[in-house]
Amino acid sequence: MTIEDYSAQRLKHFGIIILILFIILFARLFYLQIILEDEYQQLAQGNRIAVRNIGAPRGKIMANQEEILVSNKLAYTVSVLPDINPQKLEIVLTELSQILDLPLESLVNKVEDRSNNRPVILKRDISQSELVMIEERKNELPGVIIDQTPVRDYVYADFASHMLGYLTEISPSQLEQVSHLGYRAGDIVGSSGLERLYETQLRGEDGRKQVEINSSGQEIRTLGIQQPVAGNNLILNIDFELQKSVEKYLSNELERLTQLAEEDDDIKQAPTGGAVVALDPNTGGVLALASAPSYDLSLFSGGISRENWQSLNNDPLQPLLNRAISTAPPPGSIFKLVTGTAAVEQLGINAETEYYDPGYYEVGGIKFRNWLRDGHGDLNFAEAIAHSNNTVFYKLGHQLYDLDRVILQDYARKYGLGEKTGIDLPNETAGLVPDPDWRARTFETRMDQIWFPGYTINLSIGQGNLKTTPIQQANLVAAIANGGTLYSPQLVDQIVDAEGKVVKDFEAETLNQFSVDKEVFEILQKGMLDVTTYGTAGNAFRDIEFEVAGKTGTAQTGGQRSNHAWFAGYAPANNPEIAIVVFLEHGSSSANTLPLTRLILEDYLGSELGEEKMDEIIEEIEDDIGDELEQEDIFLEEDQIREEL
Amino acid sequence: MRSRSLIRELDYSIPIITLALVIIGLLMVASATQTNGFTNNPFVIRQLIALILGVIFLILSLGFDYRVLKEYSEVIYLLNIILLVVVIIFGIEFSGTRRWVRLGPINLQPAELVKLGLIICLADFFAKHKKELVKIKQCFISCLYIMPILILGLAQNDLGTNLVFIFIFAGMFYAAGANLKYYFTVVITAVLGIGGMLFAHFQLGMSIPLKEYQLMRLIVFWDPTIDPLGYGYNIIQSKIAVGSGGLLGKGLFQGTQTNLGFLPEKHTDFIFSVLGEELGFLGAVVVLVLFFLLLWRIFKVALEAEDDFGQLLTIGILVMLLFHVFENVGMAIGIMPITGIPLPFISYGGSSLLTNILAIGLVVNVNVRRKKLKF
Repeated sequence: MTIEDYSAQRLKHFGIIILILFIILFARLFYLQIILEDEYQQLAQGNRIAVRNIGAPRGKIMANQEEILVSNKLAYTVSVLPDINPQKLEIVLTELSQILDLPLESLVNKVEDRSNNRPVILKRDISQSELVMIEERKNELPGVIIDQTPVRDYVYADFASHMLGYLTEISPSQLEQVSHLGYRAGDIVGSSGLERLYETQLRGEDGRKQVEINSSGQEIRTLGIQQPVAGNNLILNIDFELQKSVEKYLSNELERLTQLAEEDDDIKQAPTGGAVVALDPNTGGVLALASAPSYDLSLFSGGISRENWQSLNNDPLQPLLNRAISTAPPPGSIFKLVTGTAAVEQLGINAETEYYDPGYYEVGGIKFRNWLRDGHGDLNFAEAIAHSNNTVFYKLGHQLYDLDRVILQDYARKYGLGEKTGIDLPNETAGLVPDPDWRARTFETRMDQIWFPGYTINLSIGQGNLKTTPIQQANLVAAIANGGTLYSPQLVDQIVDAEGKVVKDFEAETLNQFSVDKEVFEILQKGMLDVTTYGTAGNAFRDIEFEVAGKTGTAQTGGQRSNHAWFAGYAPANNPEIAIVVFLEHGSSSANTLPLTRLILEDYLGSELGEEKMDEIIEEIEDDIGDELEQEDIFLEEDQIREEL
Repeated sequence: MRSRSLIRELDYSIPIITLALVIIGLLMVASATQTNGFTNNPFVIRQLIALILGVIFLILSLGFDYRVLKEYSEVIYLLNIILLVVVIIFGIEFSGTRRWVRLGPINLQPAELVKLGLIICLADFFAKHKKELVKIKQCFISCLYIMPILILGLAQNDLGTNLVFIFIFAGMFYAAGANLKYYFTVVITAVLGIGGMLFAHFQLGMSIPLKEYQLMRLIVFWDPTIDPLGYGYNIIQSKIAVGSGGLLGKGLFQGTQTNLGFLPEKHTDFIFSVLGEELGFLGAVVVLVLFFLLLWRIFKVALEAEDDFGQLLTIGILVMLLFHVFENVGMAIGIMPITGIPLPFISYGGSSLLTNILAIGLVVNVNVRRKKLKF
């Protein structure tokens, strides 16, 4: 073979190679496009089509005339698709952490903690500038989705905060408990207040939409939509105007007292907070409920920042604490109403029953002293309530103890003390009615476990381990006002759906119905009216245009701390429309509760007299307080009682 | 007139097929870049300019006898070296490789032109030394001849282009009459060597002169699901695009993989996937048949070439185009690993289109001056 032929032979090999290679390509194409067509078409659809969540608008919360307290607004939310290239994801998250001013670590955790490949929400309610920055860099941020979702809109940023409550992102442990209800990581749930208790009513049902997306996960168009169902609305028993004046006067008064404490060395400390509860004594509906200091709910609307959360939690005044239901300080003299009820019914006394007060009540060599050192001398039972005389109630307490060693505690429980009132709010505390069983259960040493009669004597004026919440006190006076029905206070009046159709109508549950003569309550009501006419609150309520019945309380707190200040009452006395409790934590003297009580009641019942005369009233009250502050602590400690007996 | 007689000799199927491919290419580029608009799409305009330039050069080149190139083979060799050096010095780096040189408003890929330059030089070199290629010495010299080009190619870090150089050399060397004993010894040694190195790397952890991304491309070629969102992404998405096209495709401009951005590098490396998705099996077969006919015609031209130079020139161009088509289509359908090699006449890229049209010009040049004795 010549070289030429040899060469021609080899050239033909190229033709063979061309043929073989093209046959391979044709075969492979046939396999992919004809045989596997369906499989790849599904994969292409899977790429192209995604199902996205549409957040349901949460139910609104409204006051009793449907004044909106909490509603929703549309906010821009940033999410990221977790299933993109990990390196790209890292770059994207780094960029976002700068734009959104969030720590990278927290974003990475959010993405890693996800339970599925749906978009992970990184931040809700982003600002306009954040939105613009992200939109401008859209192409550098694959997998970043911005959509509009409803978030809470607090019409009045810092209003009824404790009652309404805040929302937070669901925690992993919560999620575990409620995942069967369709909650997913990143969802927002009610964490306190009504938002938490009525979470299932308020949340609504998320919708879904089928969308065509591009490779960056951005929506190109919507293919199908299943609209979300808005949550149900809550209509409260709350009287909007009353709630407003309660909050205003409470915080004003705390401010005034704080300032006063700074100027006056006689005052041990400024008040650390306070609470006001107003009930409709005829229905058990809550007309107003406030706790101070309060906090700005709008801090929570887009997810609270770490700094804000820490500063709320580290604040020594505990602004997140709802003092109306979650703190149980001793009630002081307001408890005399309980002792009084027991005494009238069990000991057969009446308003005119006469007593003599030498300034103390002596038993077994111990002197239980009245707050007025020299005593009130001759006085009847109604006057004993009016002047908050200790001696008379020591005696009554002792007599009750002799009758039955736990009968006073039984009456306390009939008024709902020591048990939760069942108000529709979370984190209510039960307080404590101390009794022999409790002692035996709680203490270790034999000595501590014994119940001494002196303990009951102490209890009869509201001291000695007795712990009650402001809401319990309000419930108590409401029961006296309505002649013996103890309701479970109810915040929510109606649940209505988004169209306004009533889903549920609430009636306050009756906790206890006193089965006693009307006279018993009439005697107490008389005493309480005397309190505001010539008694301990006489100066504060002078010339008021309607009758107020009430009882003051100054509770010793022990140590170097100021006393708690209480007022519990109702008005108008002859036809009660409102029962109210004002509590000032370490407020020094019950007298401090009176100006704001008067202002609140006058606002509610339509009078402005108190507001005009306020300076005068405050001046007189300060004289009263001055007298009181000079008194030393009179209540006996447990060890003093024990030593002597 | 001589030129008239030349035109009479012309095999019209070659330019017509080429034109058909270029037109399909323009359509596919327009579809792949449709986010830039249907009118005044800058990609289509630039591609059209390259086409016009290419056609002008082609017509001009027909006026010369291709054999004059033999006189300039040393100059062309030097130009090749210079072009590659220029890329290394002034090149713009893009995703790990250095391929582009900025020249005013346009980016050039000199390596594309070098492919053609190399073919001319090798055709001259092998034609001159054809009879000595049976000797080991000449085989060795031939290898030395290509070495500088390969080394410069490696310096660009452009594995794909280097593979083109190697296959052009291997194809032309074989056609020129390399001693098969030595030839296959080298081929087998190379295959075993590369295989052994890869084995040593994966099994024994030995280091390997490949970049991480080059290695990953090989790994995901074996199994793209190892890194479905990273290196495996392109392969998976390209196969989805082609496969979901089915028999008739989703329609021109209607590909979801293409238009929603799932398909990467869609107007360049993965243009065939756009075609497969939008025009389906039928469209893909039409294009492949056109390529087959074109290559077959070029193969015929090689057989009929008047001299060794023309024949080797045509074989070089044949190997270049064949490798491009097989590698590019192969990677789009998952039977070849991913390298950044364009699909001739169809992928977006002026340098590549210009080079390929010039190559066709050379083929036509050889064709019109074929030996007439056979007929």
